[in-house]
Amino acid sequence: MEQDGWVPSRFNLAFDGPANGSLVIFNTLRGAMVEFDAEESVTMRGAMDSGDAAAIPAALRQGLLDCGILVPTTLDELAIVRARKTTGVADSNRLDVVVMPTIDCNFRCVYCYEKHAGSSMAVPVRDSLVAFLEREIPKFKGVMLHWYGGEPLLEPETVLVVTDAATRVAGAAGATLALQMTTNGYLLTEDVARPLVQAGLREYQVTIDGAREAHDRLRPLGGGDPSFDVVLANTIAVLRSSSEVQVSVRVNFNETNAGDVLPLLDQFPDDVRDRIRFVFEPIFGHCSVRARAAIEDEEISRLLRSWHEHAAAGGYASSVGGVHAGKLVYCYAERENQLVVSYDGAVFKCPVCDFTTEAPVGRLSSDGTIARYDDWTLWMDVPAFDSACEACVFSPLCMGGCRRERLKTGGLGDTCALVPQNVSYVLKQIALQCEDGLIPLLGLTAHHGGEASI
Amino acid sequence: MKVIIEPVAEEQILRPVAADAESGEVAAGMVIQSQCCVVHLCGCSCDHAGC
Repeated sequence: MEQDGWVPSRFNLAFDGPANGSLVIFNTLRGAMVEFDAEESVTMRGAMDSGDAAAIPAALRQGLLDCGILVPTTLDELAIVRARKTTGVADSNRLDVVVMPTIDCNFRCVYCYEKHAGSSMAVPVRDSLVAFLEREIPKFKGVMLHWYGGEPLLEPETVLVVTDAATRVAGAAGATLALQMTTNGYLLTEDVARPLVQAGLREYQVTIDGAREAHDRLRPLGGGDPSFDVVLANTIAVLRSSSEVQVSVRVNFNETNAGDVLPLLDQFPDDVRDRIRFVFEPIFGHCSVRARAAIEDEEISRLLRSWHEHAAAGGYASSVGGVHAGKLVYCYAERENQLVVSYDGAVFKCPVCDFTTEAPVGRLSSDGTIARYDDWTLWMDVPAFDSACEACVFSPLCMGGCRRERLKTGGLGDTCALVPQNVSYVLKQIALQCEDGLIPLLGLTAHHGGEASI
Repeated sequence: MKVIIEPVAEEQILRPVAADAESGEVAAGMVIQSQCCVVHLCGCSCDHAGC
């Protein structure tokens, strides 16, 4: 029979629609969202429960096939997800370089996983890094150079020299160069920021952990002095220095400062808010102050939603993000053409480690080449997906979870828990807004007719 | 049956990787690939280094 040729996709997410008795299905592989009325819903629920598409009327069938909600029995959907990941990992268009000019820091954040040894990128290492960029940038169409640490602004000359070199090489090669910096913001004074902005560094991530008292408790200077007032003033000043500057304000939280997050939103003046995006991060890792030690996952998800909605209402660029089909890798560290270069020339893949006990995966050579160690191969050889991922309806959205976690522990860690709750929330918001004819909503862009993402 | 969001074609998903250097599409692709976070609800990617 013809109907035997199709089955419901394994990547369908179904939930009650906004209208009475209606059903909404979102396909995580293709990104399509479809609403069914009460009568159609009965049929669709039956098909989803049984895995049998035979009862679906012909009038619906082609539309469902087009949306990927119904698929041919011969289609291996997992193979599509695997192929996306293979493509993303091997992507030869883009080079990602994270540089740590020092692992020292002028802050002593209570949750930091790094060991801040005195350290500085010596001139020979800096020259090797420039040689690496001169060799590599012309091979790529897009290059991201991200300054990280430690606190990178403890080494402003290194930042400027290398950034200028990357800009020069990318310009000559016709490559697109994206420059970013993660800084605690304390040293981002107007005098320091001016040449950085002129050099093209216009995207910053600054962490402010809530209102003054909470921030100063979690993020004191090395001597214990407060940092909030200086960081806030510097952040506002750099935003006002150029209309092209954008800042991600990261807010790390646990149960001790969750109540201090909303007051932070009152601290920024109106004229810079549309260039500030908030990133709210539950304090992660295995430290004693981790958020999940004291806050339930459901509550973390509720807090995230509430804060993003307040930020959007307050005129910030922040919004509840969309659910984007078509992700290729979980994070950039999965990609072959990505590396973290430490101050001494040691090379890592993932920047979330203390850089003293972690074994590097390679080393920068004086001629600008990278000597790759066996650990590089071990990193890249981690299976694309855990067996649990292959059975997970969210895997096309997540693309397999943290590679470092899977390499070190053999498991997926705890970030998986937030994915179902967050995705469900966003999808329901989309369905509700679309019911009112309001697309886009909350900063979401709903592309129709073959655009890239929802 | 009402389509709220159209599906994304597979060739569209892979376009950032396959795009031609002259078209500038790779730069757009970089943006696409960095707006996929389902953990933080903010549209970030977990790609940002940083504590």
